[in-house]
Amino acid sequence: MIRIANVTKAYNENAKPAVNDLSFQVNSGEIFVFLGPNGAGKSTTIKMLVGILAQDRGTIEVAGFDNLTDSLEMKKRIGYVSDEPEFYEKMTAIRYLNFIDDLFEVPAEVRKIRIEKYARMFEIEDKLGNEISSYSHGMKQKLGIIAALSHDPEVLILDEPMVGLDPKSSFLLKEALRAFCNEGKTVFFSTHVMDTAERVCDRVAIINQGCLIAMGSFAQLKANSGEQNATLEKLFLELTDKEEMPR
Amino acid sequence: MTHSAVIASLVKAYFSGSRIATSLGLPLAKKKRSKAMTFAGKIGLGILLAISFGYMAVMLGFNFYSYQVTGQSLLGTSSLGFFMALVIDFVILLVFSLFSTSGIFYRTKENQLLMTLPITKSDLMISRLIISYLSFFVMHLFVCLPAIVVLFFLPFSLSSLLGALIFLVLSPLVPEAISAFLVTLSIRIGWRKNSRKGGELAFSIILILAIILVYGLGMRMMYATLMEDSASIMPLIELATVAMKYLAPMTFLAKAAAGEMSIGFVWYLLIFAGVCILAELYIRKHFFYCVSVVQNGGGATRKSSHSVLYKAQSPIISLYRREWTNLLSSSGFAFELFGETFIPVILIVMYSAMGIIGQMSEQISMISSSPSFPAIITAALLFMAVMNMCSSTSISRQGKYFYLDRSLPCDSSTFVKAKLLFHMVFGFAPSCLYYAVCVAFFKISPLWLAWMIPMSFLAYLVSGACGLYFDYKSPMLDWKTAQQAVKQNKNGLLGMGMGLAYILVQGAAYYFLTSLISPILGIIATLVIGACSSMLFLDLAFKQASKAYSPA
Ligand SMILES: Nc1ncnc2c1ncn2[C@@H]1O[C@H](COP(=O)(O)OP(=O)(O)O)[C@@H](O)[C@H]1O
Ligand SMILES: [Mg+2]
Repeated sequence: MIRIANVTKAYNENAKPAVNDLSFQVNSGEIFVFLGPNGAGKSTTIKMLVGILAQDRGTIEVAGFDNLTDSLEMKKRIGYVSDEPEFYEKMTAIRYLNFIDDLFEVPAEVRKIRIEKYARMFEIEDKLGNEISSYSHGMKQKLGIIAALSHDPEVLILDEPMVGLDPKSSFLLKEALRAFCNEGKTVFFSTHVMDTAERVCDRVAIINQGCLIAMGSFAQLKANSGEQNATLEKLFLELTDKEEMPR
Repeated sequence: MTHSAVIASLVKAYFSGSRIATSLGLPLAKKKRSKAMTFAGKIGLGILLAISFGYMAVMLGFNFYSYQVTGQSLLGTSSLGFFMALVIDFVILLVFSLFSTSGIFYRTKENQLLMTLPITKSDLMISRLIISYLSFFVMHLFVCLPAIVVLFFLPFSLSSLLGALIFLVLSPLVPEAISAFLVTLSIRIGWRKNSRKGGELAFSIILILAIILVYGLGMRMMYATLMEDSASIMPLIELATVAMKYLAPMTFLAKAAAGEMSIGFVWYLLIFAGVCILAELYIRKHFFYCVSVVQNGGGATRKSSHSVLYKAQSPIISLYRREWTNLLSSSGFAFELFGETFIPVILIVMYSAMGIIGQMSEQISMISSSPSFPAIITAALLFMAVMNMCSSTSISRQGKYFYLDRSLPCDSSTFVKAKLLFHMVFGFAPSCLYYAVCVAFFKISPLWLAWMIPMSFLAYLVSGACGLYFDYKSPMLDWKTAQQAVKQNKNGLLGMGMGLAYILVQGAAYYFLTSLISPILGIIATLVIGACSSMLFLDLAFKQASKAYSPA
């Protein structure tokens, strides 16, 4: 579960806030998609959720823990996939996975079962012994996802996870996310691709220039706009355009 | 655009375009520092730098001068000093450019973009060459200027002006061309990345030892000249003659600079041009091939994959192992830090070169039998302990990865403990070996070890904690090449400066208490000072780390 209330964050004191008075809640057992164009403030929001950035105002709670006062307990329950799959290039993939699981204190037998399962699913089980520098962008992305899933978090937070994945892998990822949710856990991921959002999400929040401009299930958004056969793409363009018009 | 404009903009892009752009360059903590403080800090740092570089440059100048004088009296040429400067400059530039050429030419991320732009191969190559020339020019000046100053002691001539100018402006091109050639060759013939690195490392260790040898021999010559004892250095003179014979091009340039211009100078120019042109042709031919090989993972990623083991370790050990991965991830880091740890070996070589002097005056036995000798050894080894940048660049070396650490479920103290553990294993463990060698070699009573080892432990702890404190305070995370994170990092200097202050305080306390009251009191005082300072700096480091790992 994620709860964000009136959160504002500016990178510099005088700059326009990257995230402006954002409030929403993500419930357990749902896949929540955070949709917005480039520079909308998605990564900034996510970095606040995982303990990299601190908000200037407002409160954030993940899995029942405050991100500023209880950050350690919070981080123990989060699986985070960063937007840049940058790893320690000189480590082998398995050492990286062991490293992450050591920090999350996952017992050896448990991590073995999970890593094998997900590595097989994403078809990199025979490459786990290779140095990460030999991985392609998509493979690194997969490795990041496996690392996040391997310590069985309560909340999975992914920043643009589909970037760089081939169609099959991105399908597999969606399946994995769905299975993860069905256990009553929470998935929160950002994307700028409407397609992705439309297919997998239970609910979606659309953000533009740091402000929330629409939220709800896809059906609700359609109903609100009054267009029965609109695609999310059309809605998205309409909504983000409206914001920009008055300028 | 003209070619020169293209080249100029490529060079500018390299030096200004930081490839770790805004996406992860997060604010570390909101800084509220007064301008005056920063300014004062900069001035202090500048003075510190100027003094240490000035000192080294003066030492180098003396060295060249002693070669020059010795050569004049024993070889009948004034060119020996300049010749030595040319050799040292060549070796230094070759070593350093060997380490960065592959970065500048092939490994840079820029290439992925540049290869797709309509830029001619030779423009791209020339821009890379200029970049490496500029990158090392300051280092070159450092060797070159003392040699040129020493020339002023000779009568002025047009030929010496020409020689000095060529040394100043053109000579760096030769080692840089050669190293670019060697790196290209090693990629071209498909040397595996690991053996390539091993080769680089072995080669540069040999070269560094050569520098030290030249340096030590210079001191030796200076001494002999002062004592007017030319007989004892005849073998050295013979060595110099042989070197001058085989390194003929350098000899010709040196002779020209010393006002002894000969027809051989034309040879120098021909060879110079030949080396540069050949290297240029070879690199041009294989440039794109090498870029693509390197960009596709070095053409050398190990085929055989490692076995897949599932092994649980404690967070501290796992983080500690990550420090090793980080250190070994770049030859730049490894070179800088291993170099520091093994400076003792280098010092031993130097001391033994000068030890001959000591033996002649039978001073070494006097010194080593004096009661303060163990204290001197301790001071020397403590000095080495604090002169390292292992911890004071530790956070900087992580670069942009550092921010991701904030999302890891560890307390800030866990990170600090892992880094300290690494510092102790990397620094303190080898130092114990050095102590053992000292005890055996100088026949010091092993009882001294009971004092030395705790002292060294505390010195490493203080320097580690204080280095971490500085680096957590303002890490340098947006570097482009690995060397920058270590070499151009002010935290390294701050850490060493503080360490130096620490052993000076300790030394002063020891000296006064020993001479005024009793040696036992001196020993106790040093240990107390060590314990207190390490507690103070550990506290500072832990506090600063907790700030750095909090979201900001
Ligand atoms: N480190 C930074 N420093 C200053 N501004 C930043 C930084 N990172 C992002 N921004 C700005 O914040 C805004 C939101 O960025 P971000 O959250 O990365 O967007 P996205 O939705 O594409 O992930 C953008 O206008 C961006 O320019
Ligand atoms: Mg983003």
